[in-house]
Amino acid sequence: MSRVLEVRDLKKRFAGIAAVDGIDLSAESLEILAIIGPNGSGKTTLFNLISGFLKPTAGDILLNGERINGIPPHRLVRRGLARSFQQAMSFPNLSVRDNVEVPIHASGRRHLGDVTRILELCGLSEQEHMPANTLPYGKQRNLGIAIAMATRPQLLLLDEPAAGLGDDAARDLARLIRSIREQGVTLVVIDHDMPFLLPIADRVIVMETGKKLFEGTAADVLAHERVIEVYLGHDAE
Amino acid sequence: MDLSATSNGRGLIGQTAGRTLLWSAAAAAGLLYPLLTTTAKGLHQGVLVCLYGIVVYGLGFLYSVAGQLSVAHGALWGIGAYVTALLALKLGVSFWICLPIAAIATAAFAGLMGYPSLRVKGHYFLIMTFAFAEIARTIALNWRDVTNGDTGLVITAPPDRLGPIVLNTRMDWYYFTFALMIIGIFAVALLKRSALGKRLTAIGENDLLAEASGVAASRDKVIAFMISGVYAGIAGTCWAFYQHYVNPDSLGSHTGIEFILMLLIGGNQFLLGPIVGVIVAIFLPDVFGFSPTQNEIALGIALVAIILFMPQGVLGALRLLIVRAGIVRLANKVGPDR
Amino acid sequence: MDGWTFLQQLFNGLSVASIYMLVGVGITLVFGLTGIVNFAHGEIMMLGAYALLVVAPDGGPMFIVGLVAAVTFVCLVSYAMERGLFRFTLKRPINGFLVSLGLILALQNGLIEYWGTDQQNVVAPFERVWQMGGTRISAERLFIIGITAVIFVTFSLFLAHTRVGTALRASAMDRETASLMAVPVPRLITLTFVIGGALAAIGGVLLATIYPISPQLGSTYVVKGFAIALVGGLGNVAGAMIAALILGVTEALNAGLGYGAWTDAISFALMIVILLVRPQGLLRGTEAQY
Repeated sequence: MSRVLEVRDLKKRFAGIAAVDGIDLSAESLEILAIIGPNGSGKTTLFNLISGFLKPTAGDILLNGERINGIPPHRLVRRGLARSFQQAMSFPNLSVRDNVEVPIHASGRRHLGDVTRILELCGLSEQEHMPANTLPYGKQRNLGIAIAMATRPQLLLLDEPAAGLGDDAARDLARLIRSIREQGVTLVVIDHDMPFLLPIADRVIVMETGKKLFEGTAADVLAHERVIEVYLGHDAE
Repeated sequence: MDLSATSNGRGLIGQTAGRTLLWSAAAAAGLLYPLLTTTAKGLHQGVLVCLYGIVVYGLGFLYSVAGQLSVAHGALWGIGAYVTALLALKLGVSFWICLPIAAIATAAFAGLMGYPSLRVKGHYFLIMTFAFAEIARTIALNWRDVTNGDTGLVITAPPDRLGPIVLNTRMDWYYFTFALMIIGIFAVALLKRSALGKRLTAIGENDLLAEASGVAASRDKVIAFMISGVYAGIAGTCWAFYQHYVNPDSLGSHTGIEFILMLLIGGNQFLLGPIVGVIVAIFLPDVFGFSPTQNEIALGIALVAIILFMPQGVLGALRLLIVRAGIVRLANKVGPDR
Repeated sequence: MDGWTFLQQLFNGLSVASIYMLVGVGITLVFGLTGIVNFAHGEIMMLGAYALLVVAPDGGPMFIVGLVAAVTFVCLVSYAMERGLFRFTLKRPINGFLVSLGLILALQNGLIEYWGTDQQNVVAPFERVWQMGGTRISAERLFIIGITAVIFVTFSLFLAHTRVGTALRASAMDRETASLMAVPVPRLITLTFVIGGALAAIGGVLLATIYPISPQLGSTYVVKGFAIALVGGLGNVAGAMIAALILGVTEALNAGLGYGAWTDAISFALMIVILLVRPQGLLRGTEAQY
């Protein structure tokens, strides 16, 4: 087992406020790592730091042992790091197929054959030629994941993939995430939805106000008093 | 070859057959034009339409794929013209060699201008292009040693032969620039369907997602700007030899504004949009009997009116009429509306 | 450059900076509040200048009449522009920019149509010049510096101590705040356009008294005005004033060193460099909407 991702004492300050205040974490190869925490705990900032959209104030981010601080997102993609977005997750006026082909045009690969496979995996085969902005919400989510998969990532960061999904759709999503892991991808997922996330996570990290509150298996997390306090003390999302 | 790729817009009329017919008719009209016009001025205007058309198709490429407009294309045209004039006058370089050199020079300047777009976007970029245009004009005006300032530069000799291609008469120039424009249009269509074109379209749709998909957004936008600049530079090179005269006027922001106007009048989402816009701008004074200054006033008002009332351009308004009249059914649209 | 020349250029620079200030503050307020890049602001300024040419070309006490006429005229034009045109572009500020481009063509050529492209001269109301060592202090420039100072002191008080002024200042610096203020936003926007127009008109009038005017001047001043607004921080009035001072004095010193013809190009280049190094401006202001 090797460490695909490692974060050491990562900090990010915005005008005097520490959104991320000294985080250490790691993701082992082929595991599904969940990061949970209330709003404002710094999860999204952490994602933006790891995926290159923000520069750290201090600390290190390592991908397969190499420091990737400050490398822009498009170059991280080439190193096998991809992410999805919580909102505005597709290219609205392009067809589903054109959407998924974008990373391929970016990589200079000739074969577009993967696209059909990826569409199948994400349940979008029927919608192949429809414009992205005509898809129902759940399918748009899947499209975002499909686009990220088209970059052939080694590490995939999913940003609140279950947000706004009903129970059935959430279950399908959980299945999809497992299938993605079977394709050889390590996943880090952040979300609020504990019933969705805990069953599929190998390990869970709980964040609060920019720091790591607790780390363990799903069962450990559920038993931890402080975690329950933190969650019951905030509005459910 | 279907020139309208899935990811960019529908034609004026929905069906492919209708579209091909329209383009063929337009091409035929273009080819026959010199035989239909009776005056030298008419032919001259034809050449202008082709030259400006080249610039505006280049600008349209930038706008449709990167969503960026630029006021600097007048300056890029002027840079092409001045580089050519200087090469021809000081070094006796042939027109045919001037073309590629001016293209490279313009691409370089466009890259230089485009580089700030790495750091700034939207409004800032527009302001920068405006500033660049005025800088270029100031330099051309003041660097008297090189550019001859206000007086401008004069090229007396016509281009030499290149095999069968002779450029002595106005008609020669018309067919030459017409051919260049057609090539330019094809090139734009090909570019849009290329990997670069698709990346740029993605950037225009959602630049953050494009970046996260591996697209080097900033670099690609600069490349798009350089390509659109080359169009302007090549047109400027032809201008230098055709008009025999180069001066600082065309370098300023005004020319740039007029090019934007021509692009928007026709409606950039249509293949024929830029041409329609250019034709309107050039023939407007004839239709209304305007003096050049009055024409500029009319164009200014037209631009305001287009933005406020007809953002899809003249062709867009036309299409609305055609659809409303139930003449033609619209095909399903897939693609950005720019 | 010897001491007297330096003083001369410093003095001249202050007078030019005053005009830049008048143009730049209007731009920064409008841009900060609405996000609209109104490039026609330069033409507005020239409307003020040409109004003076029409009403009071010969200086003297008629100057007051000319000034009032210019400001009134331009305020009306600004009001009409905002209500009739820019109001419809608030949702998509890029359209406001394009509209302003059309206005440039229409207005500038309107002036050319009537006056041609040649330069016109206006006789200044104050013609005395005092000699102080090697430095010539012209009463007109002194007047410009003085009146601009008075205007901005008054304006700063307005911004700091009146309800409308406070709302304006806060909203220009932070567009989000605008909707939270008790003053209705559309009225605030109209007011900003009119105030900007008034300041620009005064700038144009003062400009006409020290330099010959031509219709093309608008383009030069508007780019500098935007440079000032960006460098000083969008919506930041104090920032714009400081940036205007820097620009005006730098240009004058530049001219003193013999690079007069190149001043414009150098100023523009400087602006581009600053934007590259620090896109948010030298001082804080509204975060530019990307």
